[in-house]
Amino acid sequence: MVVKESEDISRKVVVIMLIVAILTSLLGTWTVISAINSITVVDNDKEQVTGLVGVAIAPDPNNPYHKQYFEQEEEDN
Amino acid sequence: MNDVSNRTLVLLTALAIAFSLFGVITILSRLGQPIPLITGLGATEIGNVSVTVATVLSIDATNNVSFGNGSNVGGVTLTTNGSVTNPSTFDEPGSFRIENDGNVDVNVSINSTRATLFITTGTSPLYNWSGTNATGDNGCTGVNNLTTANTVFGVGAQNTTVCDNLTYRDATDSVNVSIWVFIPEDTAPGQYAANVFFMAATV
Repeated sequence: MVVKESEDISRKVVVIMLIVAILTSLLGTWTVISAINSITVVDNDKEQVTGLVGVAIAPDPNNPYHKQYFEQEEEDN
Repeated sequence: MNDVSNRTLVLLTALAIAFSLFGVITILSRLGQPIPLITGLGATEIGNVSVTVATVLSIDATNNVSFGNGSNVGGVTLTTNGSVTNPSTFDEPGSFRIENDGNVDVNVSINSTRATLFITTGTSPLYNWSGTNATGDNGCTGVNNLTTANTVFGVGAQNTTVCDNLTYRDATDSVNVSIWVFIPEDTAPGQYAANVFFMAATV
Protein backbone atom coordinates (compact mmCIF):
# COMPACT_ATOMS: atom_id res chain seq x y z
CA MET A 1 0.00 0.00 0.00
CA VAL A 2 1.47 3.33 -1.00
CA VAL A 3 0.56 6.22 1.18
CA LYS A 4 1.25 9.67 0.06
CA GLU A 5 2.78 11.98 2.62
CA SER A 6 -0.15 14.29 2.50
CA GLU A 7 -2.71 11.48 2.99
CA ASP A 8 -3.58 9.96 6.31
CA ILE A 9 -3.58 6.18 6.82
CA SER A 10 -7.02 4.65 6.63
CA ARG A 11 -8.94 3.67 9.73
CA LYS A 12 -8.92 0.06 8.50
CA VAL A 13 -5.11 -0.08 8.72
CA VAL A 14 -5.20 1.37 12.22
CA VAL A 15 -7.66 -1.29 13.36
CA ILE A 16 -5.55 -4.06 11.81
CA MET A 17 -2.44 -2.72 13.53
CA LEU A 18 -4.24 -2.59 16.86
CA ILE A 19 -5.39 -6.20 16.47
CA VAL A 20 -1.83 -7.23 15.61
CA ALA A 21 -0.55 -5.39 18.67
CA ILE A 22 -3.04 -7.13 20.95
CA LEU A 23 -2.25 -10.55 19.46
CA THR A 24 1.50 -9.92 19.77
CA SER A 25 1.11 -8.94 23.39
CA LEU A 26 -0.97 -12.05 24.16
CA LEU A 27 1.43 -14.32 22.31
CA GLY A 28 4.38 -12.79 24.15
CA THR A 29 2.72 -13.26 27.51
CA TRP A 30 1.89 -16.88 26.70
CA THR A 31 5.47 -17.55 25.52
CA VAL A 32 6.98 -16.11 28.69
CA ILE A 33 4.60 -18.03 30.97
CA SER A 34 5.37 -21.27 29.08
CA ALA A 35 9.10 -20.62 29.42
CA ILE A 36 8.81 -20.02 33.15
CA ASN A 37 6.75 -23.18 33.63
CA SER A 38 9.29 -25.27 31.71
CA ILE A 39 12.15 -24.26 33.95
CA THR A 40 12.98 -27.17 36.24
CA VAL A 41 13.61 -26.03 39.70
CA VAL A 42 16.50 -27.99 41.16
CA ASP A 43 15.56 -28.88 44.65
CA ASN A 44 18.19 -29.68 47.20
CA ASP A 45 17.50 -33.33 47.87
CA LYS A 46 17.99 -34.62 51.33
CA GLU A 47 18.38 -38.07 52.73
CA GLN A 48 18.67 -39.39 56.24
CA VAL A 49 20.06 -42.70 57.42
CA THR A 50 20.02 -43.95 60.95
CA GLY A 51 22.68 -45.84 62.85
CA LEU A 52 22.66 -47.23 66.36
CA VAL A 53 25.19 -47.05 69.17
CA GLY A 54 24.78 -49.66 71.87
CA VAL A 55 26.61 -50.74 75.00
CA ALA A 56 25.83 -53.05 77.87
CA ILE A 57 27.21 -52.71 81.38
CA ALA A 58 27.71 -55.94 83.24
CA PRO A 59 27.41 -56.07 87.03
CA ASP A 60 30.90 -56.21 88.53
CA PRO A 61 31.57 -57.27 92.15
CA ASN A 62 34.60 -54.98 92.13
CA ASN A 63 32.43 -51.97 91.38
CA PRO A 64 31.35 -50.35 94.68
CA TYR A 65 28.20 -49.08 92.98
CA HIS A 66 27.20 -52.60 91.97
CA LYS A 67 27.47 -54.17 95.45
CA GLN A 68 23.72 -54.11 95.83
CA TYR A 69 23.28 -56.51 92.92
CA PHE A 70 25.53 -59.13 94.53
CA GLU A 71 24.15 -58.60 98.02
CA GLN A 72 20.70 -59.26 96.59
CA GLU A 73 21.98 -62.45 94.96
CA GLU A 74 23.52 -63.61 98.24
CA GLU A 75 20.25 -62.95 100.04
CA ASP A 76 18.37 -64.88 97.39
CA ASN A 77 20.75 -67.83 97.81
CA MET B 1 -6.50 20.42 20.14
CA ASN B 2 -6.33 18.51 16.93
CA ASP B 3 -7.25 14.83 16.79
CA VAL B 4 -4.35 12.39 16.54
CA SER B 5 -4.00 11.27 12.98
CA ASN B 6 -4.29 7.65 11.90
CA ARG B 7 -0.65 7.79 10.80
CA THR B 8 0.40 8.64 14.38
CA LEU B 9 -1.79 5.86 15.74
CA VAL B 10 -0.20 3.34 13.41
CA LEU B 11 3.27 4.49 14.43
CA LEU B 12 2.41 4.19 18.12
CA THR B 13 0.94 0.73 17.55
CA ALA B 14 4.05 -0.38 15.69
CA LEU B 15 6.14 0.87 18.59
CA ALA B 16 3.93 -1.08 21.04
CA ILE B 17 4.45 -4.26 19.01
CA ALA B 18 8.20 -3.66 18.91
CA PHE B 19 8.35 -3.07 22.68
CA SER B 20 6.28 -6.21 23.29
CA LEU B 21 8.58 -8.36 21.15
CA PHE B 22 11.67 -6.81 22.72
CA GLY B 23 10.29 -7.56 26.19
CA VAL B 24 9.58 -11.19 25.36
CA ILE B 25 13.02 -11.73 23.81
CA THR B 26 14.73 -10.06 26.76
CA ILE B 27 12.85 -12.16 29.34
CA LEU B 28 13.51 -15.40 27.43
CA SER B 29 17.21 -14.53 27.18
CA ARG B 30 17.42 -13.86 30.91
CA LEU B 31 15.67 -17.17 31.64
CA GLY B 32 18.11 -18.98 29.38
CA GLN B 33 15.28 -20.30 27.26
CA PRO B 34 15.47 -20.66 23.45
CA ILE B 35 13.79 -17.89 21.54
CA PRO B 36 11.09 -19.45 19.34
CA LEU B 37 11.90 -17.73 16.07
CA ILE B 38 10.43 -19.05 12.84
CA THR B 39 13.23 -20.23 10.59
CA GLY B 40 13.45 -21.80 7.18
CA LEU B 41 14.46 -25.42 6.80
CA GLY B 42 18.22 -25.64 6.42
CA ALA B 43 19.92 -27.62 3.70
CA THR B 44 21.39 -29.97 6.28
CA GLU B 45 19.34 -31.58 8.94
CA ILE B 46 21.04 -32.06 12.25
CA GLY B 47 19.76 -34.61 14.73
CA ASN B 48 20.27 -34.02 18.41
CA VAL B 49 20.77 -36.84 20.87
CA SER B 50 20.40 -35.82 24.44
CA VAL B 51 21.07 -37.95 27.48
CA THR B 52 19.88 -36.85 30.85
CA VAL B 53 21.58 -38.34 33.88
CA ALA B 54 19.31 -37.93 36.86
CA THR B 55 20.95 -36.78 40.03
CA VAL B 56 20.67 -39.35 42.78
CA LEU B 57 21.40 -38.52 46.36
CA SER B 58 22.11 -41.58 48.42
CA ILE B 59 24.25 -42.35 51.42
CA ASP B 60 24.69 -45.52 53.36
CA ALA B 61 25.77 -46.06 56.94
CA THR B 62 27.43 -49.44 56.71
CA ASN B 63 27.50 -50.49 60.30
CA ASN B 64 25.99 -49.96 63.65
CA VAL B 65 28.29 -49.50 66.59
CA SER B 66 27.96 -52.09 69.32
CA PHE B 67 30.50 -52.05 72.12
CA GLY B 68 29.23 -55.33 73.53
CA ASN B 69 29.39 -55.58 77.28
CA GLY B 70 31.94 -55.13 80.02
CA SER B 71 32.66 -53.63 83.40
CA ASN B 72 32.65 -49.94 84.15
CA VAL B 73 34.80 -50.10 87.29
CA GLY B 74 36.60 -46.79 87.71
CA GLY B 75 34.62 -45.32 84.78
CA VAL B 76 35.52 -46.36 81.23
CA THR B 77 36.03 -44.58 77.94
CA LEU B 78 34.97 -46.51 74.85
CA THR B 79 35.78 -45.52 71.31
CA THR B 80 35.58 -46.80 67.77
CA ASN B 81 38.59 -44.72 66.84
CA GLY B 82 41.10 -47.56 67.16
CA SER B 83 43.67 -45.24 68.72
CA VAL B 84 43.17 -46.92 72.09
CA THR B 85 41.95 -50.35 73.10
CA ASN B 86 38.63 -50.52 74.84
CA PRO B 87 38.93 -51.76 78.45
CA SER B 88 37.45 -54.78 80.17
CA THR B 89 35.61 -57.14 77.83
CA PHE B 90 34.14 -54.46 75.58
CA ASP B 91 34.29 -55.04 71.82
CA GLU B 92 36.27 -53.00 69.28
CA PRO B 93 33.56 -52.00 66.80
CA GLY B 94 34.57 -50.06 63.74
CA SER B 95 33.48 -46.48 63.23
CA PHE B 96 30.43 -45.53 61.24
CA ARG B 97 31.35 -45.42 57.56
CA ILE B 98 29.23 -43.07 55.50
CA GLU B 99 29.42 -43.82 51.80
CA ASN B 100 28.09 -41.51 49.12
CA ASP B 101 26.63 -44.02 46.66
CA GLY B 102 24.67 -41.44 44.67
CA ASN B 103 26.01 -39.38 41.80
CA VAL B 104 26.18 -35.93 43.35
CA ASP B 105 28.46 -34.46 45.97
CA VAL B 106 26.75 -34.09 49.32
CA ASN B 107 27.05 -32.29 52.59
CA VAL B 108 26.87 -34.74 55.49
CA SER B 109 25.75 -33.76 58.94
CA ILE B 110 25.10 -35.73 62.12
CA ASN B 111 22.72 -35.62 65.00
CA SER B 112 22.06 -37.72 68.08
CA THR B 113 20.82 -37.37 71.60
CA ARG B 114 22.79 -35.86 74.45
CA ALA B 115 24.87 -38.12 76.71
CA THR B 116 22.48 -38.16 79.66
CA LEU B 117 19.68 -39.43 77.42
CA PHE B 118 21.92 -42.23 76.13
CA ILE B 119 23.69 -43.33 79.30
CA THR B 120 20.74 -42.64 81.52
CA THR B 121 22.33 -43.46 84.86
CA GLY B 122 25.56 -42.35 86.49
CA THR B 123 27.23 -39.02 86.97
CA SER B 124 28.36 -36.99 83.95
CA PRO B 125 28.56 -39.51 81.10
CA LEU B 126 30.06 -38.30 77.82
CA TYR B 127 28.94 -39.04 74.28
CA ASN B 128 30.99 -37.49 71.47
CA TRP B 129 31.82 -38.00 67.82
CA SER B 130 34.62 -37.01 65.46
CA GLY B 131 35.10 -37.23 61.71
CA THR B 132 38.00 -39.31 60.45
CA ASN B 133 39.39 -40.18 57.04
CA ALA B 134 38.14 -43.36 55.41
CA THR B 135 41.49 -44.82 54.49
CA GLY B 136 41.67 -45.93 50.87
CA ASP B 137 38.25 -44.54 50.04
CA ASN B 138 38.32 -41.08 51.55
CA GLY B 139 35.92 -38.65 49.92
CA CYS B 140 36.39 -35.71 52.24
CA THR B 141 39.79 -34.36 51.36
CA GLY B 142 41.51 -31.15 50.32
CA VAL B 143 39.35 -28.10 50.69
CA ASN B 144 36.45 -30.16 51.98
CA ASN B 145 35.89 -29.37 55.59
CA LEU B 146 36.03 -32.53 57.70
CA THR B 147 35.12 -31.98 61.33
CA THR B 148 37.85 -33.86 63.16
CA ALA B 149 37.36 -32.22 66.55
CA ASN B 150 35.85 -34.33 69.29
CA THR B 151 32.31 -32.93 69.30
CA VAL B 152 29.62 -33.35 71.92
CA PHE B 153 26.29 -34.74 70.73
CA GLY B 154 23.06 -32.90 71.45
CA VAL B 155 24.54 -29.49 72.23
CA GLY B 156 24.16 -26.40 70.07
CA ALA B 157 22.89 -26.79 66.51
CA GLN B 158 20.73 -29.84 65.96
CA ASN B 159 22.66 -31.03 62.92
CA THR B 160 26.41 -30.62 62.93
CA THR B 161 28.43 -30.85 59.74
CA VAL B 162 30.67 -33.89 59.39
CA CYS B 163 31.86 -33.13 55.87
CA ASP B 164 31.06 -30.10 53.74
CA ASN B 165 31.49 -31.92 50.46
CA LEU B 166 31.59 -35.72 50.35
CA THR B 167 32.36 -36.65 46.76
CA TYR B 168 30.60 -39.50 44.98
CA ARG B 169 33.27 -41.13 42.79
CA ASP B 170 33.78 -44.76 43.77
CA ALA B 171 37.39 -44.54 44.89
CA THR B 172 36.74 -41.41 46.94
CA ASP B 173 33.26 -41.55 48.39
CA SER B 174 33.45 -42.32 52.10
CA VAL B 175 34.04 -40.74 55.45
CA ASN B 176 34.24 -42.28 58.91
CA VAL B 177 32.60 -41.06 62.06
CA SER B 178 34.15 -42.24 65.29
CA ILE B 179 32.12 -42.51 68.46
CA TRP B 180 33.41 -41.78 71.95
CA VAL B 181 31.52 -42.73 75.10
CA PHE B 182 32.52 -42.24 78.73
CA ILE B 183 30.59 -44.45 81.14
CA PRO B 184 30.98 -43.39 84.74
CA GLU B 185 31.56 -45.89 87.49
CA ASP B 186 28.16 -45.28 89.07
CA THR B 187 26.28 -46.20 85.91
CA ALA B 188 23.92 -49.04 86.69
CA PRO B 189 24.24 -52.39 84.87
CA GLY B 190 22.00 -52.65 81.85
CA GLN B 191 21.67 -51.98 78.15
CA TYR B 192 22.05 -48.49 76.69
CA ALA B 193 21.41 -47.44 73.12
CA ALA B 194 21.08 -44.26 71.08
CA ASN B 195 20.15 -43.55 67.48
CA VAL B 196 22.56 -41.59 65.32
CA PHE B 197 21.11 -39.71 62.37
CA PHE B 198 23.19 -38.90 59.31
CA MET B 199 21.74 -36.32 56.96
CA ALA B 200 22.93 -35.74 53.42
CA ALA B 201 22.01 -32.78 51.22
CA THR B 202 23.17 -31.98 47.72
CA VAL B 203 25.91 -29.39 47.70
